[in-house]
Order: sequence, then structure tokens, then C-alpha cells
Amino acid sequence: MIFDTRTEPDESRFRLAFTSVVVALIGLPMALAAWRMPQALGGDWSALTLAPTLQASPLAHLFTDSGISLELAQVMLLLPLGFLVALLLRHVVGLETLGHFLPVLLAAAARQTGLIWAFVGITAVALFAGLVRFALERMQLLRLPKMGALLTTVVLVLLGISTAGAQLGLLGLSKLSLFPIIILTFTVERLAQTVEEEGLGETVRLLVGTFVVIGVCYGVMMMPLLGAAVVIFPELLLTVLGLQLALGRYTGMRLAEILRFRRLLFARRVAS
Amino acid sequence: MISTLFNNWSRVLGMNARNVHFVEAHNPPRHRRLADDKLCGKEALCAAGVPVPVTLAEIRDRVDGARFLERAPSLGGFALKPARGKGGQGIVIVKGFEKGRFLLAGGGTCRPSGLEHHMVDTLMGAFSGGRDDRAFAEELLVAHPSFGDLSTGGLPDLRVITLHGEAQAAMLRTPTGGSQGRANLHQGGLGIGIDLQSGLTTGGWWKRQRLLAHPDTGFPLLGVRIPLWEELIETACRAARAVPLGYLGIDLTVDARRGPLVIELNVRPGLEIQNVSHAGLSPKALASSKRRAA
Repeated sequence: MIFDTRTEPDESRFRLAFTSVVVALIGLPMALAAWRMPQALGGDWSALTLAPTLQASPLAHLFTDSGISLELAQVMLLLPLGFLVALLLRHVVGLETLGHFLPVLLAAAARQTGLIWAFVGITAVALFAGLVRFALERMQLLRLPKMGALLTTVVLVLLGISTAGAQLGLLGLSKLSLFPIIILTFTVERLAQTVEEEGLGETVRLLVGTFVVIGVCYGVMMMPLLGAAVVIFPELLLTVLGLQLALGRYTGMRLAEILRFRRLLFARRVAS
Repeated sequence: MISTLFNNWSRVLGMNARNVHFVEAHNPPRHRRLADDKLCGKEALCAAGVPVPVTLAEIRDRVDGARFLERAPSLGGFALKPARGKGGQGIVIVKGFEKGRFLLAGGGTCRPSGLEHHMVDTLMGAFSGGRDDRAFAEELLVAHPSFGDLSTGGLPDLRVITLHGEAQAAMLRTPTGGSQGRANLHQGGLGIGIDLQSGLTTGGWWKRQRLLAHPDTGFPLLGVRIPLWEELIETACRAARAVPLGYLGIDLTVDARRGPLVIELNVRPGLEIQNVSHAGLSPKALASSKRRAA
């Protein structure tokens, strides 16, 4: 990886300190987890994916005794990891998404509904609320009341689809009420603005990027191994933190930028 | 073979490197307001004697808005802008007033109540990500006739990238027939690279393709001298030195009566200028061009 290469005198000192902190954050929790493993799992990684191991972990007890369901605790602990994956896709691959947190929140919600129904739900909300916004726009409303009206629409659409899904026996669809409502409302507004100002092509590009990031985050957050690992070894969150800090100083070219600047990158000679 | 293939990789600036090496390193957050808020920026530039378009009215609340609307019909034309709008969002260009309606650039019309609604929306942050904002009206600029050959569809603007008050790259952005008056490159505007030393154009960049002739007129885009070049670049550098921000994208235009004017400062200037001028902007590329100039 290519990190900051400025050479001011105190810069090298900063870099040393930063690198040490990052390495410690990434390494120490992993060492701790490895040291605790024999006691937690009997030294057998494959036991991690077994439900009884998860249930028997002391932290799982602590959560359930405190009224936090294991599922909720798991989603909370997986969120930073999911966001790390989204970060990688944005800063290293160069995908662009609608909103910073929307993909990872929807991926978390998709753990309940399943990926396909999540996509169906997003599309339905975007279409309905988009239509309503189109009507609201013609009424020349002020911004905040308009956002309120959109929020109401999003809630109605989500509740409508959820109850309809339950009546039809589509279990995945009935869990749609877990969607992040406020974030979705902002997204509908952003989406409509993007259509108005940048055109349909740009909007589709953003949507595809968003769906890809949701899909990959979902895939990672659904891995049984990771889901159990974060509950049994929550110190691994510090590793995630370390990786996020490291990404914060990553200055390499994004993959998408290699395509964008291909004429420059692969030219024989470039002026400067 | 491999080494020639990767010769330019360290010269091209990516988004991550721009943010860490330039934006975070040279633009302290406490001063970014000077670029993010156009009214603050204009104040600083005015104080330093840098020419900017005349502000006709500053609108901080609805009362200001109502007062401005009363005298707006007699102004002829004006540009209504949000102070914190990004990328040209929320800008309304009014060309005149006829039969109780404002005539907008692009052919539409708008009632005074529509303009008032737009102003209130602006104040409530419709174009500034929800933060309270101010609006302001500026004099309408008229494209300088000497740019007529390079620009067909309206006011061209010059983007200059500066590092610590010194110009590093420049391009001219002009609307084209198909871009509906917009000069933004991703909306069909034409970018024309300029060699800093000579002020000669180095070719065009349009719809992600390199061009040597204007797509509308066929006018050559290679080796044409930019009118008023010395004055333009000098104005840009003076603007850069007027604010405590090290890395800037400065937008200028040339008004028919007043000459070069600074319209906007950007703390996060886009990277497309590298494609337009066919030159890299990475720290390494800037250092080597500095060595060559010395």
C-alpha cells in the first residue's frame, strides 16, 4: 500500500507513531483472540460456526441477560465490519454510492429479509416515494415539510409492503419494516435531486454502485464464521478500527481511476 | 517495456492522494469556509483588491428576500445564488422582467412568488445539505467577445489549480451546443487545456475524448492564444494569496466590461483537469515541473 510520503521533519515522526498505533490496533486484538481461543472454543475454529458454541460464550450470556437479543448484538458488532467493506469498495475500488451509510445499513436489514427482497423493497420505496416527491415538487413546498411528507410516505410504503408480504406468506418481505427509514427518506431526496441535476445515466451508475456495495456487505455480514467471531471475540472490533485508520491514510489510485485516467497512465510521455 | 508502461503512474493524482496530500495537508478546516461560502470568499477577495462580480443584494432572511424582490424587476438581469451551493446547484440566472414574470436563462419564465420560494428554500438549506444558508444576487456577466471562437453556448470559465499561490494547471471550460449553457465537463461542457507558461491551448477534452477542433464550430483547439492570459493568471494567483488556503481550484471568467473576475474558490478541486491538460498533478509531478521551471 502507498501511504503518505510527505517529508517534512516532524512528518516522519508522525508516520512512525501512526503506523505503530495502527499495527498495535490490528495485531493485539488478534493475538488476544488467539490466546482466548482454546478456552472459548476448545481450540477448534470450526466450532465457531456452531450455534451451541455461540450460545455458550460468556458475552452472549451477558447480552441476553441484559435484554439485548443475540441477533441484535450480532448486527451491532457486524456494522463496523460491514462499513469497512464498504470503505474498501469506495476508496480502493472506487465505487460510488448513494449516501455513506445507506449501503451498510441496508445490508444489515437484508440479513433479515434476504438480499432479493431487500432490493425489491428499495426499488419499491424509491419508486413510490419518488412519485410522491414529484407531486410535492409541483406544490412548491418548503424543504423540511417536504421531507416530512416524504418520511410519511416511506413509512406507509414500508408498512404496506411488510403487511402485504406477511398476508401473502412472503416472510422475507414482511421483515421490511426493519429498513432504516430516516436514511431511506434522505436517499429518496438525493436520488430525485440526482435525476434532476445529473440525468438518468448518472443516477443509474450510482444505483448500480449502491447495489453492488450492498450485495458485497451483505455477503460478508452473512458469513457464519464472522457473525460468531464478533460475538465471541468482540475485541476484534479494534482490529476493524485499526484497518479503518489505515485506510484513512491510503493514498493509492482507486481501481476506477485507472480506467478514468487510462489515457494519461498509459501514455508514452506525459507533461507535468 | 513494463517500466515505460508504468512511467506515468506516479504523476497522476488520484482522489485519495488529493484528499490526504493536498486538501487535508494544505487547507485547514477552519479556513475552508472562505471557499465553501461564496459571500465570505468574496469579502476576503474584495479586501485584497481582487476583482469579483458586484453583489447586488445579500439575502439573510425572508425580509431581505421580500425587499430584494421589490427592486428585482428594475435590475434588468441578475444571478441569484446560494452562498453555500455546490457545483452550480441552486443558481438562477434572470435575464429580465416582462409582464409580471422574470425571464430566465434557457428560455423559461418564473413568477416573483416562484423566485421567493426558491430564495426561502435556499435559506433553509436546500442546496447546502440542510444547513441554514444565505442567498445573494450578483450582477449579470456578459461574455467577453474575444472568447467567441472558443465558446459557443455562453460564458466560458477558466479553472486554475494553485498550490501556495502558484498556478499549477489551467483549463478553459465552455458550454457547447448540447450542454444547455452548462460548462461542467460531465454535463457536456468542453474542456480546453492550457500551457501555463505560454498561455497557448493544448487541445480539447469533450465527452471523455481528446479533440483538436471545436465540436460546434471546427475552430482549432491546439496552439490558440488565450485572450488576456497574463492578466487572468495574475488575478488567479492574487486570489489564491488572498486566502489562507494552500490548495485551490480558482474559477475566473472574463466580463466584457470589467475584464477578468474571480467567481469561485474550491477547496476540493476536481481531478478531471489532468485529462483535459494531459498532465499529471501528483506531488511528484508538481515537484519535477517546478525543478524544470527553475
